Amino acid sequence: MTERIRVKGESGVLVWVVLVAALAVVLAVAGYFFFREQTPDKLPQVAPAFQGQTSFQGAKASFKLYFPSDDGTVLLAETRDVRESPDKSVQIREVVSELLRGPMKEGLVSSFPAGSRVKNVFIDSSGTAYVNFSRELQSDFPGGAWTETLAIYSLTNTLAINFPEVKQVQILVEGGVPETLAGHIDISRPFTPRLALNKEQ
Amino acid sequence: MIRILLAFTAFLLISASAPVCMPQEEPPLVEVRYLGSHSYAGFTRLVFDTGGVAPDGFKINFVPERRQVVLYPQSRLLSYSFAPVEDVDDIVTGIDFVEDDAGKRGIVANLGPGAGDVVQSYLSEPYRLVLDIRKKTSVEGYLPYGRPVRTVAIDPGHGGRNAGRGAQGVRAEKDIALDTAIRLKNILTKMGYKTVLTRSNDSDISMDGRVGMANNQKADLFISIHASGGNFTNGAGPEIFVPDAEDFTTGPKNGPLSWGEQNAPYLPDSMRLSRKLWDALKKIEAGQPVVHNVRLAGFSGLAMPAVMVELGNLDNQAKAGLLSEDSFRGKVADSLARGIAEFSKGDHD
Repeated sequence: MTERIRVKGESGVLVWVVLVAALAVVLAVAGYFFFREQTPDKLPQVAPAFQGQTSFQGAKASFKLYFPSDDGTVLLAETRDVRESPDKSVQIREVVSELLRGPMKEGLVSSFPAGSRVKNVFIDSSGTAYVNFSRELQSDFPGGAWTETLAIYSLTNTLAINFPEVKQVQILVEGGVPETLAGHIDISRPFTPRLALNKEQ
Repeated sequence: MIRILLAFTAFLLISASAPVCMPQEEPPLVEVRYLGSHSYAGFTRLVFDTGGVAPDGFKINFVPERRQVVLYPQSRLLSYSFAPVEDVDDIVTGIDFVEDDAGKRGIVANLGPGAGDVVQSYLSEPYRLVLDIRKKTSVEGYLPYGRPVRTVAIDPGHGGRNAGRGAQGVRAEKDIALDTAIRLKNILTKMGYKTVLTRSNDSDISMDGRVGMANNQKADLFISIHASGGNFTNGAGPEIFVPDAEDFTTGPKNGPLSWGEQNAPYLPDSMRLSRKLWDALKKIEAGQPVVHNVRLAGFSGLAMPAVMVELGNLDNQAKAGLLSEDSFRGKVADSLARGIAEFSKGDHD
């Protein structure tokens, strides 16, 4: 009986030691990524944007997200409630996150690969929104010149329609300016919206 | 049956009464917007958004003695949403509106003494009308619209580790592209053209490398061959991609075109090539023409008319099956060769 309690006590201490060690590792890793995100050294010089300020009160606002139609000919809108933020770049990040989540409505498809995330967003004084994605946007992109085009304008048109201050959009991947998403369309320079691709139902 | 009869009677009544009810029905309005200009070394490009109306619905009158280009909608009334523009550069001195004696409104580009010929073309998504006004004093052939085709650069997409599209059990895009390109090369050689193949084996070459090869061999035309992917219900292909008009900058340029602008003068020819290719392809493929103007990676450095053809969607089973057949790829190569031959006849539509 005592034998069993003693053993149990020892393993309890072991569990705690492992837990604390694991917590320390998690904190260290999280801290590394957190601070790394704070210093986007490859990002262009832009007006300072408040990155950490995410003072949500749980309020939501409606935004129009543009997704490719399932026949791949136009972009169609889906209205989605998105967490509200007083900070424009945080708000844009929220909207792009919803766009990456894909459409809910039937007849629409997503043109972004599953697993791609938006890391951060900056807007400069000339109205260029820099949208910084995780590497999956490029590494898992399904490819094809038209699929790339639809992804570019799904993003650019969505931001232009919902945020009048956004005049053009530059796609970044892991803080750098990529040449293409999958080898066909040049994304090394910003895109202005192509509202002709939007079809309002 | 009774319903149909009723509907027909109603239709007859309405059509008969329409001229009485609406004696002076005005033609629909079309709103034209001037998007901007780009001053290149040998020419000035003006771009107009034609308000969703296909630009072949417009008439363009070049009046050399008055140094004017006038743009009229054919069967619509023009409304415009831009203020007159002054001093574009020394080739175009301004853009204004005119109304002829019959009250027909048009847009006029006033040309400076240095202006020569005008070349028009149009782009899609949105419909845009492009007017290229050449410098009169520029060296003959500087804006080489309609240059004869002797050497054709054929660019099989992808290669090596870069396999492109291709689901399991389907031939990869890089192989379909290479095989079709070699077939096209053989047909063109028989027809008497010189050819440049940017890759002749399973190797990956950078886009700049491919562009440099075509420029160094002084090719007169560049055709890049790809296949597409994507889970769209339509768009099994083929699709033709043509470079877009560049974003606008201001200020005239006098030096030679930079690497990134070399393709600009060839835009009208690239559009003409895309139409000839489509006319040839539609004989073996059902469907509507799909020509997209996009910013094709690397193409801005090509000193020749240039298009990319995506032969079909490899995620579409039926299409992938067809493209894996030798005989079908042979037919596609034949069509592309016919399109190139039609283009090189040089008839400007």
